[in-house]
Amino acid sequence: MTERERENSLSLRERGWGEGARPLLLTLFFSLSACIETRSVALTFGTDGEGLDGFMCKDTSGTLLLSRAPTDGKTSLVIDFVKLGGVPGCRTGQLMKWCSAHDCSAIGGKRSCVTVNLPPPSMAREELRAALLNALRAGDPFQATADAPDEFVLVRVVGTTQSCDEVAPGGDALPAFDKSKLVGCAYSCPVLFDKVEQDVYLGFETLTTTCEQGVRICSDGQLQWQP
Amino acid sequence: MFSLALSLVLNAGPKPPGATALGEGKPSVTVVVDGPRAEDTKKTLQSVSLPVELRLTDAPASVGVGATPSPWPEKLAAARRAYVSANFAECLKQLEGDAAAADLLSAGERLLTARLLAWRTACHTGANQPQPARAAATALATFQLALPEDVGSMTPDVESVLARTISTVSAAPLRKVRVESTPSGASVEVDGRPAACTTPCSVDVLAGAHVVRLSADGYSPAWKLVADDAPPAFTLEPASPELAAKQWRARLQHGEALDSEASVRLLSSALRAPRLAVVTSEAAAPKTLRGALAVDGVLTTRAERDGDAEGLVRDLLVRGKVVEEAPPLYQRWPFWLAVGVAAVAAGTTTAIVVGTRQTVTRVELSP
Repeated sequence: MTERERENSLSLRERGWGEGARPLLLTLFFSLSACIETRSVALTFGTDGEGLDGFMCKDTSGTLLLSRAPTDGKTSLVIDFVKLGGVPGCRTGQLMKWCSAHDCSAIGGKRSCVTVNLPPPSMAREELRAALLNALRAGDPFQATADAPDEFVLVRVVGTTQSCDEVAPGGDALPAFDKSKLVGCAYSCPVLFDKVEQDVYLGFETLTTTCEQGVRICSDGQLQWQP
Repeated sequence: MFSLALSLVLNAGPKPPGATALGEGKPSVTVVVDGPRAEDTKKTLQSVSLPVELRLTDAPASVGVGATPSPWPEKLAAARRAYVSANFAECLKQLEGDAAAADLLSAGERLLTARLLAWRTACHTGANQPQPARAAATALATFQLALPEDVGSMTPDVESVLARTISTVSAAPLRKVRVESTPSGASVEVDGRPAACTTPCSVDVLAGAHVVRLSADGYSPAWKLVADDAPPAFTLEPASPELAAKQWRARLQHGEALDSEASVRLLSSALRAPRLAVVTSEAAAPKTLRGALAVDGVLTTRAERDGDAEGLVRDLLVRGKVVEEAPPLYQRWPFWLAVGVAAVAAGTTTAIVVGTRQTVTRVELSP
């Protein structure tokens, strides 16, 4: 209880109607509590890990970004809720065009981070997808947020070799990702979590395996084109 | 019984022109408080909050229209002395005045009138003026006045003239005189005799001129000398406040109840109070308060309560339509406004509670 609340409470008691107000306040509290709906929504990469293409991108030299991870595969998965200021389309081009005219920054207080051990990159693409999926499913489900934003947002998961501490928000400001340490990225369509009735799918649109540029865009603070 | 010391008047009459008073715009009312609990009632009424303006004033005092002494006893005495001295000219001089007899009769002075006419008969007879002597004797007979004791001081021939004339006039048949007035209901006096009827009515009189006088509470009395061929019609003028007070006090002295219709009406005039309420109680039942309300001099309502002066006055004001009775709660627009506001508030609250049902969504990374 804050000092002001304490003063108010004392003031009510001094006025002699605190006893009468208490049941009223309790009734109001329980009435409002009864109106709170608690839901749970899962973020997935698809049944077979089809949303993991963003974690199998190569740079222009043909090297998997995943190879940036240390030998133990220790990688930070950073989950951001990106506000959109509206409801743009879901395709990459639509998102980039929308974000060129709107504020598409991640919400500072909603960033979360979990450390996972990703598999080594020395295997075929589909095996790697399965290995990534297994690695991600190895741990318990990670709570990205206890209360999703009450607006349309985009969720992205950025893989980076930076530690969770390095990317932890400092106040409302979110530190930018070190582009040289990016491992992968996936994002969702614009979604209103309080209304969505299915799992939210995270994916990555690319027609080629050389998609480091897409990962940079995906991890950018404003989802802008990155040179 | 009425008592000046206990009488209080809560006067809510019209304010003097230009006066500014508390409660401007409220109707004003008059209440006369009388009886054993007058002081308590007065205090109660001074502190009540009513939708009218109440003003306290005393009952009208007994001073007012006073009767001036008549000069006629002295004149008659002088005429008698002149007659005894055979100075008939002086005698007639003392008795001159064309309308003297009518004036005296209109004031109810039948004895003085009889003496005046008898001495005129005597003086004219002594002056050897038989026609004026007969005229005076005829008037005495026509007015049906009793012969005064003064006749014993007159010569036998005067007595003879009087006797003959009275006999002649009295033998003539009576005629009816129709008397009407505006307003009607006035008391009629003929030749100074007590009221014979109230207008409109007819009275039987001997042939000749007669003094017809009308009087009514709240109006100034009026009289006319009515000739044989002129049926009188009167229009009475409202009494002055002083006269109304005198009439009111006369009624009370004759045992009239303070809250009677006539009393309240006269008091309204005396106090110049268009709205007058009288509150009174009796020694036998001091807790029982009686009230009467007159509006524009007309008694409009009565009420009675046990010890509740404020309630009594409220009853009178409502029943007398001086103020409107407060309508039931459900007939007042603020009630329905409050109901509407409450309904809107309840609806809005419900809509807000239902419409803004809070949803907390937990998001898990669950690949």
